[in-house]
Amino acid sequence: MWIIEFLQKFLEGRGFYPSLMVIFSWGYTILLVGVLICEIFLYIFKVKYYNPEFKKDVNKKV
Amino acid sequence: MIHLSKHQLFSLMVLFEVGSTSVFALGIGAKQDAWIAILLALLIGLGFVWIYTELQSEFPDKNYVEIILTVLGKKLGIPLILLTLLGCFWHSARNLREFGELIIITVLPETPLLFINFIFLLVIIYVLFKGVEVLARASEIIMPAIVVFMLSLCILVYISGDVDFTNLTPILGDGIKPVLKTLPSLVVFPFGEMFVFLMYWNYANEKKIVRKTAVKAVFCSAILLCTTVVMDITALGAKYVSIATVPLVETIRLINIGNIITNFDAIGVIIIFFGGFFKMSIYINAAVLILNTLFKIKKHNKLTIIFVSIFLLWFAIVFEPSYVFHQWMFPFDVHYFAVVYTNIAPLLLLIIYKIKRKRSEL
Repeated sequence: MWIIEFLQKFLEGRGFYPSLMVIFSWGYTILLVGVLICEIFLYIFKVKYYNPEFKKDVNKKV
Repeated sequence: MIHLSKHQLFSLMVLFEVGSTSVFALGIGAKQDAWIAILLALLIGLGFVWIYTELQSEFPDKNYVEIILTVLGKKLGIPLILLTLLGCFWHSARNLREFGELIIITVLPETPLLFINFIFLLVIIYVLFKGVEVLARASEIIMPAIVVFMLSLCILVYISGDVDFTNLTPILGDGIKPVLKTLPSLVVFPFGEMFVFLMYWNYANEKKIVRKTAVKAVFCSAILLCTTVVMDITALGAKYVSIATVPLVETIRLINIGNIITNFDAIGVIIIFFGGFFKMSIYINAAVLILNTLFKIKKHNKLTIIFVSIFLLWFAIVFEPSYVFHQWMFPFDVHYFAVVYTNIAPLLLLIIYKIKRKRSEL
């Protein structure tokens, strides 16, 4: 797989922890961007977000 | 309940920003234009401070972990919290290593690194046992000392006759490209690191002044860092600054006024060390707070502090075989993973929150 070869080359000599951080952080960013896109679509199609606890927390803004 | 005044928050933020950055010549990739790069990074950094404080102002009584859980829920939120925790471990371990090496290079060359780090961590554990308020009160005393020291250093170097302002020329001699190339790393380190205060701002006495205090602190620390870099470059020259292990110490060694006021490096190192102490303490305490909030630990705070400290003592030595490796890792960590939890994640979190809020009002 080209992605594994790329990661092997890119992370060579960097050690376990930084490699873990790179994979974890960018993997998570992709996930979060996906969530953001879903949220935008739900907003465009006017799907109501119902969560009483969230609403309770929201009204505390300074 | 912990309460921090605006002055205490200001001192903590300034010390955190100046912290280990005084050890490096910040933005030296842009050579003699490093100061321009710092000022440009400040502008972008202030934008990110707005994002962090906006997130905090939406949830004034919650810390970052609680904000993440409210906005993203448990399944999506816990990975981000773990990422932030791992980031805090990484930064504190690197700080520990930096200051341990700084002491070995400058004042205690024969002492083992493990022993220096152990003593350093013991002091941090002691302060954290006393609580964040004690740390904040200590910062109120130390912050003016560091600022006065840095400024008097500039004056002493100037009086010694080692300052040559032509070292700053040609301004933008290689064009704007080197400045823009250095910019991303400067935005993350040190300005992006302000995200860690999302774990502290909920302790503020007056929630309304958080943004104003954060902006003031970032601005003041950036000016201080800019002054230090200008002093380093004018005294040593951009080329030497870029290869020196600790440029600030090299600059301090130049001070010689009539062979009377000289050999300042030992005092200088101690003062620099204070900055590192506060930065480390803030990171370690943030990691402890993350663990305590995530696992709902209320009674055994001291145990968490000891656990985190022991882990860092091991981490700082095992994951970085040498100081050369440590320096080699600097642009890598900032570009390829620190940027995610310092800049990208809070920005996405804020946007997702705003959309969810709009959707809940439909």
